[in-house]
Amino acid sequence: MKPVYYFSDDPPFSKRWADWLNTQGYDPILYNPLQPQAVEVLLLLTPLLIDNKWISIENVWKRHFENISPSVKIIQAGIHEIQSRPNYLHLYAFPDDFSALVADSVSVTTWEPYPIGGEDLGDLLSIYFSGHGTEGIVEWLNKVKSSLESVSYRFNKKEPVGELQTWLIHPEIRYDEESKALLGRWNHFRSYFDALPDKTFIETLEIEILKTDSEPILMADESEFKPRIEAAMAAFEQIIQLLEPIIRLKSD
Amino acid sequence: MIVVWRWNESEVYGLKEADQVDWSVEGDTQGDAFVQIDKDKDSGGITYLTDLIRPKLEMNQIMLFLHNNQKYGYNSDAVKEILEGLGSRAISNLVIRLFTGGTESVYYTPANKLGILGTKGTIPSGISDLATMTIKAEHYDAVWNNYFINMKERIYQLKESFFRRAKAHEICESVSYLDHLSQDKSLWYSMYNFIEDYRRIPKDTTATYSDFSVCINYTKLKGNKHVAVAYKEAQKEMKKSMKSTIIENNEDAQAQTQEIYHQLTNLWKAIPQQSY
Repeated sequence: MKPVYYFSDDPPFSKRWADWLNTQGYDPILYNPLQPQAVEVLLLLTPLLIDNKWISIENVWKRHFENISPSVKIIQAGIHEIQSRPNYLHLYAFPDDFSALVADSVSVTTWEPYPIGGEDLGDLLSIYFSGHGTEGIVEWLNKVKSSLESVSYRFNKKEPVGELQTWLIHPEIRYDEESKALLGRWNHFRSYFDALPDKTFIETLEIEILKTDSEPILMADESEFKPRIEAAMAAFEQIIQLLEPIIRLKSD
Repeated sequence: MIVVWRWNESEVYGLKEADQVDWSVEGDTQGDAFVQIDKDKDSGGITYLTDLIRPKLEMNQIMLFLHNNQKYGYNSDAVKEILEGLGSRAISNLVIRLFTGGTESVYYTPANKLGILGTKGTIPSGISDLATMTIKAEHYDAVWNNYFINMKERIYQLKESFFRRAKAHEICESVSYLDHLSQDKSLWYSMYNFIEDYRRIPKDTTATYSDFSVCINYTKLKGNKHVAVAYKEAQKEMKKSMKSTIIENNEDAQAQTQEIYHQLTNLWKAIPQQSY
Protein backbone atom coordinates (compact mmCIF):
# COMPACT_ATOMS: atom_id res chain seq x y z
CA MET A 1 0.00 0.00 0.00
CA LYS A 2 1.33 3.45 -0.94
CA PRO A 3 1.52 6.12 1.74
CA VAL A 4 -0.45 9.29 1.13
CA TYR A 5 0.27 12.08 3.58
CA TYR A 6 -2.38 14.53 4.69
CA PHE A 7 -2.34 17.64 6.87
CA SER A 8 -5.20 19.00 8.92
CA ASP A 9 -5.76 20.50 12.35
CA ASP A 10 -9.09 18.74 12.58
CA PRO A 11 -9.61 15.20 13.90
CA PRO A 12 -8.13 12.61 11.56
CA PHE A 13 -9.83 11.15 8.54
CA SER A 14 -13.11 9.47 9.22
CA LYS A 15 -13.16 5.72 8.80
CA ARG A 16 -15.07 6.16 5.55
CA TRP A 17 -12.30 8.25 4.03
CA ALA A 18 -9.55 5.99 5.31
CA ASP A 19 -11.42 2.89 4.07
CA TRP A 20 -11.88 4.43 0.65
CA LEU A 21 -8.21 5.32 0.36
CA ASN A 22 -7.30 1.79 1.50
CA THR A 23 -9.48 0.28 -1.22
CA GLN A 24 -7.62 2.50 -3.66
CA GLY A 25 -4.29 1.11 -2.43
CA TYR A 26 -3.28 4.09 -0.31
CA ASP A 27 -2.49 4.39 3.36
CA PRO A 28 -3.31 7.85 4.82
CA ILE A 29 -0.64 9.18 7.21
CA LEU A 30 -0.78 12.48 9.08
CA TYR A 31 2.07 14.75 7.96
CA ASN A 32 4.19 15.92 10.88
CA PRO A 33 5.96 19.28 10.36
CA LEU A 34 8.22 18.54 13.34
CA GLN A 35 9.66 15.58 11.43
CA PRO A 36 9.15 16.47 7.77
CA GLN A 37 8.78 13.36 5.66
CA ALA A 38 9.67 12.81 2.02
CA VAL A 39 6.30 12.95 0.31
CA GLU A 40 5.05 12.35 -3.21
CA VAL A 41 1.41 13.22 -2.68
CA LEU A 42 0.05 15.45 0.05
CA LEU A 43 -3.60 16.09 0.86
CA LEU A 44 -4.42 19.41 2.52
CA LEU A 45 -7.65 19.68 4.49
CA THR A 46 -8.01 23.39 5.04
CA PRO A 47 -8.66 26.05 6.27
CA LEU A 48 -7.07 25.55 9.66
CA LEU A 49 -8.58 27.13 12.75
CA ILE A 50 -5.88 28.85 14.79
CA ASP A 51 -6.59 31.28 17.62
CA ASN A 52 -10.11 31.76 16.34
CA LYS A 53 -8.89 32.73 12.87
CA TRP A 54 -9.42 30.64 9.76
CA ILE A 55 -6.07 30.27 8.03
CA SER A 56 -5.27 29.19 4.47
CA ILE A 57 -1.86 27.59 4.16
CA GLU A 58 -1.83 26.60 0.49
CA ASN A 59 0.44 29.37 -0.81
CA VAL A 60 3.07 28.87 1.90
CA TRP A 61 3.10 25.09 1.47
CA LYS A 62 3.32 25.45 -2.31
CA ARG A 63 6.39 27.68 -2.04
CA HIS A 64 8.00 25.38 0.54
CA PHE A 65 7.68 22.28 -1.63
CA GLU A 66 8.65 24.17 -4.78
CA ASN A 67 11.95 24.85 -3.04
CA ILE A 68 12.67 21.46 -1.55
CA SER A 69 10.80 18.93 -3.65
CA PRO A 70 9.23 20.34 -6.82
CA SER A 71 7.75 17.07 -8.02
CA VAL A 72 5.40 16.80 -5.03
CA LYS A 73 1.71 16.88 -5.87
CA ILE A 74 -0.50 18.76 -3.43
CA ILE A 75 -4.18 17.89 -3.53
CA GLN A 76 -6.73 20.05 -1.73
CA ALA A 77 -9.59 18.18 -0.08
CA GLY A 78 -12.97 19.68 0.65
CA ILE A 79 -16.56 19.94 -0.52
CA HIS A 80 -16.43 22.96 -2.81
CA GLU A 81 -18.51 22.51 -5.91
CA ILE A 82 -15.72 22.20 -8.41
CA GLN A 83 -16.15 20.62 -11.80
CA SER A 84 -13.42 18.06 -12.51
CA ARG A 85 -10.52 20.13 -11.30
CA PRO A 86 -7.15 18.41 -10.90
CA ASN A 87 -5.45 18.66 -7.51
CA TYR A 88 -8.85 18.63 -5.77
CA LEU A 89 -10.47 15.72 -3.96
CA HIS A 90 -14.18 16.11 -3.25
CA LEU A 91 -14.79 14.44 0.08
CA TYR A 92 -18.45 13.71 -0.59
CA ALA A 93 -17.99 12.55 -4.18
CA PHE A 94 -14.91 10.41 -4.35
CA PRO A 95 -13.61 9.74 -7.86
CA ASP A 96 -13.59 6.21 -9.22
CA ASP A 97 -9.84 6.06 -9.25
CA PHE A 98 -7.62 8.02 -6.85
CA SER A 99 -4.49 7.02 -8.75
CA ALA A 100 -5.95 8.61 -11.87
CA LEU A 101 -6.71 11.80 -9.91
CA VAL A 102 -3.10 11.85 -8.72
CA ALA A 103 -1.82 11.18 -12.24
CA ASP A 104 -3.96 14.02 -13.66
CA SER A 105 -2.86 16.43 -10.95
CA VAL A 106 0.03 18.76 -11.62
CA SER A 107 3.18 19.06 -9.56
CA VAL A 108 3.55 21.83 -7.04
CA THR A 109 5.49 24.06 -9.44
CA THR A 110 2.54 24.55 -11.76
CA TRP A 111 -0.25 24.02 -9.25
CA GLU A 112 -2.52 27.02 -8.65
CA PRO A 113 -4.25 26.57 -5.29
CA TYR A 114 -8.04 26.79 -5.36
CA PRO A 115 -8.83 29.95 -3.35
CA ILE A 116 -10.61 28.89 -0.19
CA GLY A 117 -10.61 32.24 1.68
CA GLY A 118 -9.53 32.80 5.26
CA GLU A 119 -6.33 34.60 6.16
CA ASP A 120 -3.14 33.75 4.32
CA LEU A 121 -0.48 32.24 6.58
CA GLY A 122 2.31 33.94 4.61
CA ASP A 123 0.74 37.38 5.12
CA LEU A 124 0.39 36.77 8.86
CA LEU A 125 3.97 35.59 9.33
CA SER A 126 5.33 38.29 7.07
CA ILE A 127 3.81 40.84 9.43
CA TYR A 128 5.54 39.10 12.34
CA PHE A 129 8.95 39.48 10.72
CA SER A 130 8.79 42.60 8.59
CA GLY A 131 5.66 44.44 9.51
CA HIS A 132 4.55 46.80 11.20
CA GLY A 133 6.93 49.62 11.77
CA THR A 134 9.20 49.29 14.75
CA GLU A 135 7.44 46.19 16.07
CA GLY A 136 8.67 43.81 13.36
CA ILE A 137 11.40 41.33 14.17
CA VAL A 138 13.68 42.60 11.40
CA GLU A 139 13.50 46.10 12.86
CA TRP A 140 14.10 44.68 16.33
CA LEU A 141 17.22 42.90 15.10
CA ASN A 142 18.56 46.13 13.64
CA LYS A 143 17.98 48.00 16.88
CA VAL A 144 19.56 45.34 19.06
CA LYS A 145 22.54 45.12 16.74
CA SER A 146 23.01 48.84 17.03
CA SER A 147 22.78 48.62 20.81
CA LEU A 148 25.33 45.81 20.94
CA GLU A 149 27.75 47.78 18.81
CA SER A 150 27.43 50.64 21.23
CA VAL A 151 28.18 48.36 24.19
CA SER A 152 31.16 46.79 22.42
CA TYR A 153 32.53 50.19 21.54
CA ARG A 154 32.59 51.20 25.20
CA PHE A 155 34.30 47.99 26.18
CA ASN A 156 36.90 48.22 23.48
CA LYS A 157 37.71 51.77 24.46
CA LYS A 158 37.87 50.62 28.09
CA GLU A 159 35.64 53.51 29.00
CA PRO A 160 34.43 53.41 32.56
CA VAL A 161 30.96 52.02 32.74
CA GLY A 162 28.57 51.91 35.59
CA GLU A 163 25.83 49.40 36.06
CA LEU A 164 25.16 47.03 33.20
CA GLN A 165 21.76 48.61 32.77
CA THR A 166 23.34 51.84 31.62
CA TRP A 167 25.15 50.04 28.80
CA LEU A 168 21.88 48.65 27.65
CA ILE A 169 20.30 52.01 27.27
CA HIS A 170 21.03 53.14 23.78
CA PRO A 171 19.53 56.33 22.40
CA GLU A 172 17.41 54.18 20.12
CA ILE A 173 16.65 51.26 22.38
CA ARG A 174 15.67 50.44 25.93
CA TYR A 175 16.58 46.80 26.02
CA ASP A 176 14.28 45.93 28.92
CA GLU A 177 11.25 47.35 27.10
CA GLU A 178 12.24 45.85 23.79
CA SER A 179 12.68 42.39 25.23
CA LYS A 180 9.17 42.55 26.70
CA ALA A 181 7.80 43.65 23.35
CA LEU A 182 9.62 40.79 21.65
CA LEU A 183 8.18 38.23 24.07
CA GLY A 184 4.70 39.70 23.74
CA ARG A 185 4.93 39.58 19.99
CA TRP A 186 6.16 35.98 20.05
CA ASN A 187 3.25 34.95 22.29
CA HIS A 188 0.83 36.70 19.95
CA PHE A 189 2.09 34.88 16.85
CA ARG A 190 3.42 31.61 18.31
CA SER A 191 0.54 29.36 17.25
CA TYR A 192 0.69 30.42 13.58
CA PHE A 193 4.13 28.81 13.33
CA ASP A 194 2.41 25.47 13.95
CA ALA A 195 0.90 25.71 10.48
CA LEU A 196 4.25 25.74 8.69
CA PRO A 197 5.26 22.67 6.68
CA ASP A 198 8.62 22.50 8.46
CA LYS A 199 8.85 23.66 12.04
CA THR A 200 11.95 21.83 13.16
CA PHE A 201 13.48 25.20 14.05
CA ILE A 202 10.69 26.22 16.41
CA GLU A 203 12.27 24.87 19.57
CA THR A 204 15.56 26.67 18.91
CA LEU A 205 13.73 29.87 18.11
CA GLU A 206 11.62 29.69 21.24
CA ILE A 207 14.61 29.00 23.47
CA GLU A 208 16.52 31.92 21.98
CA ILE A 209 13.57 34.26 22.37
CA LEU A 210 13.10 33.26 25.99
CA LYS A 211 16.80 33.85 26.60
CA THR A 212 16.39 37.46 25.57
CA ASP A 213 14.13 38.11 28.55
CA SER A 214 15.53 41.25 30.09
CA GLU A 215 15.39 40.26 33.75
CA PRO A 216 18.13 37.61 33.84
CA ILE A 217 20.12 39.59 31.31
CA LEU A 218 20.03 42.76 33.35
CA MET A 219 21.44 40.83 36.26
CA ALA A 220 24.10 39.10 34.18
CA ASP A 221 27.53 40.48 33.49
CA GLU A 222 28.72 41.40 30.05
CA SER A 223 30.42 38.08 29.37
CA GLU A 224 27.03 36.38 29.68
CA PHE A 225 24.90 39.06 28.14
CA LYS A 226 26.63 39.46 24.80
CA PRO A 227 26.72 35.79 23.79
CA ARG A 228 23.06 35.41 24.70
CA ILE A 229 21.88 38.28 22.59
CA GLU A 230 24.21 37.35 19.75
CA ALA A 231 22.91 33.77 19.78
CA ALA A 232 19.34 35.05 19.66
CA MET A 233 20.15 37.33 16.76
CA ALA A 234 21.94 34.55 14.89
CA ALA A 235 18.94 32.27 15.40
CA PHE A 236 16.57 34.91 14.11
CA GLU A 237 18.70 35.68 11.10
CA GLN A 238 18.99 32.02 10.24
CA ILE A 239 15.24 31.56 10.56
CA ILE A 240 14.49 34.64 8.51
CA GLN A 241 16.75 33.28 5.77
CA LEU A 242 14.98 29.94 5.98
CA LEU A 243 11.48 31.37 5.91
CA GLU A 244 11.92 34.28 3.56
CA PRO A 245 11.36 32.27 0.38
CA ILE A 246 8.10 30.78 1.60
CA ILE A 247 6.43 33.60 3.48
CA ARG A 248 7.69 36.36 1.16
CA LEU A 249 8.68 39.07 3.57
CA LYS A 250 7.31 42.44 2.69
CA SER A 251 9.53 45.48 2.69
CA ASP A 252 7.08 47.95 4.21
CA MET B 1 -14.64 56.19 13.54
CA ILE B 2 -12.17 56.92 16.31
CA VAL B 3 -8.62 55.56 16.28
CA VAL B 4 -6.56 55.73 19.46
CA TRP B 5 -3.00 54.99 18.49
CA ARG B 6 0.58 56.14 18.94
CA TRP B 7 0.42 58.33 15.84
CA ASN B 8 3.72 59.24 14.23
CA GLU B 9 4.24 62.62 12.59
CA SER B 10 1.88 64.08 15.16
CA GLU B 11 3.09 67.59 14.35
CA VAL B 12 1.95 67.10 10.74
CA TYR B 13 -1.52 66.11 11.87
CA GLY B 14 -1.73 68.76 14.56
CA LEU B 15 -1.78 66.25 17.41
CA LYS B 16 0.95 68.11 19.26
CA GLU B 17 -1.40 71.01 19.98
CA ALA B 18 -4.73 69.17 20.22
CA ASP B 19 -5.96 66.04 21.98
CA GLN B 20 -7.78 64.95 18.87
CA VAL B 21 -7.83 65.71 15.17
CA ASP B 22 -11.04 65.27 13.17
CA TRP B 23 -11.08 64.34 9.50
CA SER B 24 -14.05 64.27 7.18
CA VAL B 25 -14.79 61.61 4.59
CA GLU B 26 -14.54 62.44 0.89
CA GLY B 27 -17.96 63.15 -0.64
CA ASP B 28 -19.78 62.38 2.60
CA THR B 29 -23.20 63.84 3.32
CA GLN B 30 -24.12 61.78 6.38
CA GLY B 31 -21.72 63.25 8.91
CA ASP B 32 -19.13 60.47 8.80
CA ALA B 33 -15.92 61.39 10.59
CA PHE B 34 -12.49 59.94 11.26
CA VAL B 35 -10.97 60.99 14.57
CA GLN B 36 -7.28 60.63 15.49
CA ILE B 37 -6.40 60.47 19.17
CA ASP B 38 -3.05 59.75 20.82
CA LYS B 39 -3.69 59.36 24.51
CA ASP B 40 -2.62 56.37 26.54
CA LYS B 41 -4.78 54.83 29.21
CA ASP B 42 -2.76 56.15 32.12
CA SER B 43 -2.98 59.71 30.84
CA GLY B 44 -6.72 59.87 31.33
CA GLY B 45 -7.57 58.04 28.12
CA ILE B 46 -10.65 56.28 29.48
CA THR B 47 -12.30 59.43 30.83
CA TYR B 48 -11.44 61.34 27.67
CA LEU B 49 -13.02 58.68 25.48
CA THR B 50 -16.17 58.20 27.54
CA ASP B 51 -16.70 61.99 27.61
CA LEU B 52 -16.20 62.14 23.86
CA ILE B 53 -18.48 59.22 23.01
CA ARG B 54 -21.35 59.69 25.51
CA PRO B 55 -23.08 62.70 23.90
CA LYS B 56 -22.72 61.26 20.39
CA LEU B 57 -24.15 57.80 21.03
CA GLU B 58 -27.81 58.61 20.85
CA MET B 59 -27.69 59.83 17.26
CA ASN B 60 -24.62 58.07 15.85
CA GLN B 61 -22.98 54.72 15.35
CA ILE B 62 -19.43 54.71 16.67
CA MET B 63 -16.50 52.46 15.88
CA LEU B 64 -13.71 52.83 18.42
CA PHE B 65 -10.29 51.34 17.65
CA LEU B 66 -7.90 51.03 20.59
CA HIS B 67 -4.29 50.06 20.06
CA ASN B 68 -3.77 46.97 22.17
CA ASN B 69 -0.19 47.56 23.16
CA GLN B 70 1.42 46.90 26.51
CA LYS B 71 2.99 50.35 26.68
CA TYR B 72 -0.25 52.03 25.67
CA GLY B 73 -2.37 50.28 28.27
CA TYR B 74 -5.54 49.37 26.36
CA ASN B 75 -6.78 45.82 26.79
CA SER B 76 -10.05 44.00 27.45
CA ASP B 77 -10.24 45.55 30.94
CA ALA B 78 -10.01 49.00 29.37
CA VAL B 79 -12.91 48.11 27.08
CA LYS B 80 -14.95 47.11 30.13
CA GLU B 81 -14.05 50.37 31.84
CA ILE B 82 -15.20 52.39 28.85
CA LEU B 83 -18.50 50.51 28.64
CA GLU B 84 -19.06 50.91 32.38
CA GLY B 85 -18.18 54.59 32.06
CA LEU B 86 -20.90 54.84 29.44
CA GLY B 87 -23.30 53.11 31.81
CA SER B 88 -23.78 49.81 30.03
CA ARG B 89 -22.17 46.45 29.36
CA ALA B 90 -23.17 46.44 25.71
CA ILE B 91 -24.28 49.24 23.46
CA SER B 92 -25.74 48.47 20.05
CA ASN B 93 -24.50 51.73 18.52
CA LEU B 94 -20.92 51.21 19.62
CA VAL B 95 -18.31 48.69 18.50
CA ILE B 96 -14.97 48.71 20.31
CA ARG B 97 -12.12 46.86 18.68
CA LEU B 98 -8.66 46.27 20.13
CA PHE B 99 -6.16 46.13 17.29
CA THR B 100 -2.51 45.19 17.14
CA GLY B 101 0.16 43.46 15.15
CA GLY B 102 -0.58 44.73 11.67
CA THR B 103 -2.82 41.75 10.88
CA GLU B 104 -6.13 43.58 11.19
CA SER B 105 -7.95 44.83 8.13
CA VAL B 106 -7.83 48.39 9.50
CA TYR B 107 -4.18 48.37 8.36
CA TYR B 108 -3.30 49.34 4.81
CA THR B 109 -0.99 46.54 3.64
CA PRO B 110 -0.13 44.90 0.32
CA ALA B 111 -2.66 42.21 1.22
CA ASN B 112 -5.34 44.71 2.23
CA LYS B 113 -5.34 47.69 -0.06
CA LEU B 114 -8.53 49.11 1.45
CA GLY B 115 -7.20 49.66 4.97
CA ILE B 116 -6.51 53.08 6.47
CA LEU B 117 -3.63 52.85 8.94
CA GLY B 118 -0.13 52.71 7.55
CA THR B 119 2.34 50.40 9.22
CA LYS B 120 4.51 53.33 10.30
CA GLY B 121 1.89 54.98 12.50
CA THR B 122 0.56 57.29 9.80
CA ILE B 123 -2.24 57.48 7.25
CA PRO B 124 -0.63 56.85 3.83
CA SER B 125 -0.86 59.83 1.51
CA GLY B 126 -2.85 57.98 -1.15
CA ILE B 127 -5.65 57.49 1.35
CA SER B 128 -5.78 60.95 2.87
CA ASP B 129 -5.57 64.56 1.76
CA LEU B 130 -3.94 66.79 4.36
CA ALA B 131 -4.92 69.99 2.58
CA THR B 132 -8.63 69.27 2.93
CA MET B 133 -8.32 66.88 5.90
CA THR B 134 -10.33 64.19 4.15
CA ILE B 135 -10.08 60.41 4.04
CA LYS B 136 -10.99 58.50 0.89
CA ALA B 137 -14.53 57.15 1.17
CA GLU B 138 -13.62 53.78 -0.38
CA HIS B 139 -11.20 53.07 2.46
CA TYR B 140 -13.42 54.46 5.20
CA ASP B 141 -16.42 52.43 4.01
CA ALA B 142 -14.38 49.25 3.64
CA VAL B 143 -12.98 49.46 7.16
CA TRP B 144 -16.38 50.42 8.58
CA ASN B 145 -18.12 47.51 6.88
CA ASN B 146 -15.36 45.08 7.80
CA TYR B 147 -15.59 45.86 11.48
CA PHE B 148 -19.02 47.21 12.21
CA ILE B 149 -20.80 44.72 10.05
CA ASN B 150 -17.96 42.27 9.54
CA MET B 151 -20.25 40.24 7.33
CA LYS B 152 -17.75 38.41 5.18
CA GLU B 153 -15.89 37.07 8.20
CA ARG B 154 -19.09 36.20 10.07
CA ILE B 155 -20.41 34.18 7.14
CA TYR B 156 -17.04 32.49 6.64
CA GLN B 157 -16.95 31.56 10.33
CA LEU B 158 -20.45 30.09 10.11
CA LYS B 159 -19.67 28.20 6.88
CA GLU B 160 -16.47 26.60 8.15
CA SER B 161 -17.68 25.98 11.72
CA PHE B 162 -20.76 24.31 10.27
CA PHE B 163 -18.75 22.08 7.93
CA ARG B 164 -16.28 21.14 10.64
CA ARG B 165 -19.10 20.06 12.93
CA ALA B 166 -21.11 18.37 10.20
CA LYS B 167 -18.22 16.28 8.89
CA ALA B 168 -17.44 15.09 12.41
CA HIS B 169 -20.86 13.39 12.34
CA GLU B 170 -19.26 10.68 10.26
CA ILE B 171 -17.20 9.69 13.28
CA CYS B 172 -20.16 9.47 15.67
CA GLU B 173 -23.00 8.13 13.62
CA SER B 174 -24.85 6.80 16.68
CA VAL B 175 -26.26 10.31 17.18
CA SER B 176 -28.63 11.74 14.59
CA TYR B 177 -27.31 14.46 12.31
CA LEU B 178 -29.43 17.25 13.80
CA ASP B 179 -28.75 16.13 17.38
CA HIS B 180 -25.07 16.12 16.58
CA LEU B 181 -25.22 19.66 15.19
CA SER B 182 -27.37 20.93 18.06
CA GLN B 183 -24.90 19.73 20.68
CA ASP B 184 -22.60 22.53 19.63
CA LYS B 185 -24.64 25.34 21.15
CA SER B 186 -22.54 28.17 19.75
CA LEU B 187 -23.02 26.86 16.23
CA TRP B 188 -26.64 25.86 16.70
CA TYR B 189 -27.73 29.26 18.07
CA SER B 190 -25.69 31.01 15.38
CA MET B 191 -27.67 29.00 12.83
CA TYR B 192 -31.00 29.95 14.46
CA ASN B 193 -29.88 33.56 14.52
CA PHE B 194 -28.92 33.30 10.84
CA ILE B 195 -32.41 32.07 9.89
CA GLU B 196 -33.98 34.73 12.15
CA ASP B 197 -35.70 32.18 14.38
CA TYR B 198 -34.76 34.02 17.56
CA ARG B 199 -37.31 32.37 19.85
CA ARG B 200 -35.31 29.12 19.67
CA ILE B 201 -32.36 30.76 21.38
CA PRO B 202 -32.75 30.63 25.17
CA LYS B 203 -32.56 34.08 26.71
CA ASP B 204 -30.33 32.82 29.51
CA THR B 205 -27.86 30.89 27.36
CA THR B 206 -24.21 31.26 28.22
CA ALA B 207 -23.14 30.08 24.77
CA THR B 208 -21.43 32.65 22.57
CA TYR B 209 -23.10 32.78 19.19
CA SER B 210 -22.98 35.05 16.14
CA ASP B 211 -25.53 37.79 15.64
CA PHE B 212 -26.41 38.31 11.97
CA SER B 213 -29.03 41.05 12.45
CA VAL B 214 -26.57 43.75 11.43
CA CYS B 215 -25.75 41.68 8.31
CA ILE B 216 -29.45 41.46 7.43
CA ASN B 217 -29.66 45.25 7.64
CA TYR B 218 -26.61 45.44 5.39
CA THR B 219 -28.31 43.30 2.74
CA LYS B 220 -31.12 45.88 2.61
CA LEU B 221 -28.79 48.72 1.63
CA LYS B 222 -28.85 50.06 -1.91
CA GLY B 223 -26.55 48.11 -4.20
CA ASN B 224 -26.61 44.95 -2.10
CA LYS B 225 -29.51 43.19 -3.79
CA HIS B 226 -27.34 40.28 -4.96
CA VAL B 227 -26.15 39.80 -1.37
CA ALA B 228 -29.76 39.83 -0.16
CA VAL B 229 -30.69 37.16 -2.73
CA ALA B 230 -27.76 34.96 -1.71
CA TYR B 231 -28.66 35.44 1.97
CA LYS B 232 -32.27 34.35 1.36
CA GLU B 233 -31.13 31.26 -0.55
CA ALA B 234 -28.78 30.25 2.24
CA GLN B 235 -31.46 30.90 4.85
CA LYS B 236 -33.97 28.77 2.94
CA GLU B 237 -31.59 25.82 2.72
CA MET B 238 -30.58 26.04 6.35
CA LYS B 239 -34.19 26.33 7.56
CA LYS B 240 -35.15 23.28 5.52
CA SER B 241 -32.29 21.29 6.98
CA MET B 242 -32.79 22.35 10.61
CA LYS B 243 -36.43 21.31 10.55
CA SER B 244 -35.97 18.26 8.42
CA THR B 245 -37.20 14.84 9.44
CA ILE B 246 -35.82 13.09 6.39
CA ILE B 247 -32.15 13.05 7.32
CA GLU B 248 -31.96 9.37 8.09
CA ASN B 249 -28.57 8.23 6.92
CA ASN B 250 -25.11 9.41 6.10
CA GLU B 251 -25.94 10.09 2.46
CA ASP B 252 -28.84 12.38 3.46
CA ALA B 253 -26.60 14.16 5.96
CA GLN B 254 -23.88 14.66 3.38
CA ALA B 255 -26.35 16.02 0.87
CA GLN B 256 -27.65 18.54 3.42
CA THR B 257 -24.15 19.53 4.48
CA GLN B 258 -23.10 19.95 0.87
CA GLU B 259 -26.13 22.12 0.02
CA ILE B 260 -25.84 24.40 3.06
CA TYR B 261 -22.09 24.76 2.55
CA HIS B 262 -22.65 25.56 -1.11
CA GLN B 263 -25.24 28.26 -0.33
CA LEU B 264 -23.08 29.80 2.41
CA THR B 265 -20.11 29.82 0.01
CA ASN B 266 -22.23 31.63 -2.59
CA LEU B 267 -23.27 34.17 0.02
CA TRP B 268 -19.67 34.63 1.20
CA LYS B 269 -18.54 35.20 -2.40
CA ALA B 270 -21.35 37.71 -2.99
CA ILE B 271 -20.18 40.03 -0.20
CA PRO B 272 -17.99 42.73 -1.73
CA GLN B 273 -15.21 42.89 0.81
CA GLN B 274 -11.57 42.08 0.23
CA SER B 275 -10.66 40.38 3.45
CA TYR B 276 -11.59 36.82 4.28
